Amino acid sequence: MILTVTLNPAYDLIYWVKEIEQAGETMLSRAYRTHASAGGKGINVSMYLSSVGVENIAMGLIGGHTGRTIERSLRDKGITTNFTWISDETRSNVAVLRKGKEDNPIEINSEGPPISDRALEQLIKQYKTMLHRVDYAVLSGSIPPKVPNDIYGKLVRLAKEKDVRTVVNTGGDHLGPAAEAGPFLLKPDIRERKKVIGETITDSRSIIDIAKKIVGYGTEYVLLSHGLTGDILVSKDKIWNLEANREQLKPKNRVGAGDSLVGGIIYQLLEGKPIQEAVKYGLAAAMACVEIYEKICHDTSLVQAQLRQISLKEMEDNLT
Amino acid sequence: MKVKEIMTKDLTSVREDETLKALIFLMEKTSLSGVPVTDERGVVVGFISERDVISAALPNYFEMLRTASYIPDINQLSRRLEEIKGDKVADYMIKDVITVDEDEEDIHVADLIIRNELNRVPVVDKDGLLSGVVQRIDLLGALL
Repeated sequence: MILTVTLNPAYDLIYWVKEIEQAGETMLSRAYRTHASAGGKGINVSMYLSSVGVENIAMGLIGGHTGRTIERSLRDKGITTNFTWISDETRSNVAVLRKGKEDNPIEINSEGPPISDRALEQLIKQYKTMLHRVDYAVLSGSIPPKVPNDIYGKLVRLAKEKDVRTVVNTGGDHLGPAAEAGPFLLKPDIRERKKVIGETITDSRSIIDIAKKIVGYGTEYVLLSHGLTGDILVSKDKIWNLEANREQLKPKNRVGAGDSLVGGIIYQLLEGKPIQEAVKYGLAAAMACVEIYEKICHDTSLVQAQLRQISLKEMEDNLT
Repeated sequence: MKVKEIMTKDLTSVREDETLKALIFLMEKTSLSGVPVTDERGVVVGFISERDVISAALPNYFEMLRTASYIPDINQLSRRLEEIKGDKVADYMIKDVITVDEDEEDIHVADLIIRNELNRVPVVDKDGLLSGVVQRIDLLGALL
């Protein structure tokens, strides 16, 4: 059983437009396609796992009508829910995808509602209870206002006490404390900032340097994506480079692709695959999702097609 | 059909040591009229509904009279709720809770619901951990 934790869920609204044009005093565009779904990184992972038949529990902080819509939508997908309820309304996020520029979406993400100490205590209580029955805990996404930066670090440490593996996918100031707690897999989110634990990502070599530093803290594996079609996986003594042909990818929607990557990795680890093969599958799942309008790709044949064109190479570690 | 095929996969519950105030907040936000009570591992140890809270807030003679028309004013109920809001769920929950195993047949849970006039029945796995709930509407949905 897998647990996903989404501290800052969202209702995702995705609009595909030809272009955004100036119409008088307003920038106006008519969407030729729309897609709305429950969102937030952990929730996306839950939806991916559910699509491949992996039993999972989604937890996090939700409130209001949006929270209810999210909860209902996950239950309809066969996902077990165990949310902590808050007084304020859960946020909505908007992504605008322009024709021909789909791999450069305009994303407007709300900050999310402020979280009281009481609600956070309640969430941790529920989290501890869930740790008795899961193999992996996926801790993903941004954190809402008033939640301390070391929250992911705390959740990782609690999971380790129960021998539950953790996968952390986040960015910003709460990444450092999470890394120091030593999760099983850490995937820094570098969409907004090319800085990880105070270091700036410039090229593949800097990715390896940063990943090595994080592994030094006790994290087993660090996964850093470069572009839509490349990943570098670093462990204590090995480095793998995964690469696919960027030119062949026809992006339609990259929202949530990184979460399909995480979901694909966990799915394959549960199937007994070694980590590097699991990451390769995860990358294929992410690429398959990028090529369709919906956020989650349910068609495994599309994933298999992507898998065939990904190269996986172990790299020489001449940096240590 | 098995219970696990028709149940609502929802683990919304309260812990025994939770206060009635926290319980009321949860029921208000989720629109649930009752929730399972679990221990720190998630084992079902009771069930508490809004009816149990109302009974706790009303004078003792209410159960006998079966009407609220003898309550002098609503403030009395409010004052009593204020008095007990910090009390623990464990003090008011039904300890002799009816649960159903997730591998049971749906006819078994239908029988339990009808005979005991229940709205929701907690579903437990082989370790006694809460794994969902069966509501009357789940059964009706499955029958259609």
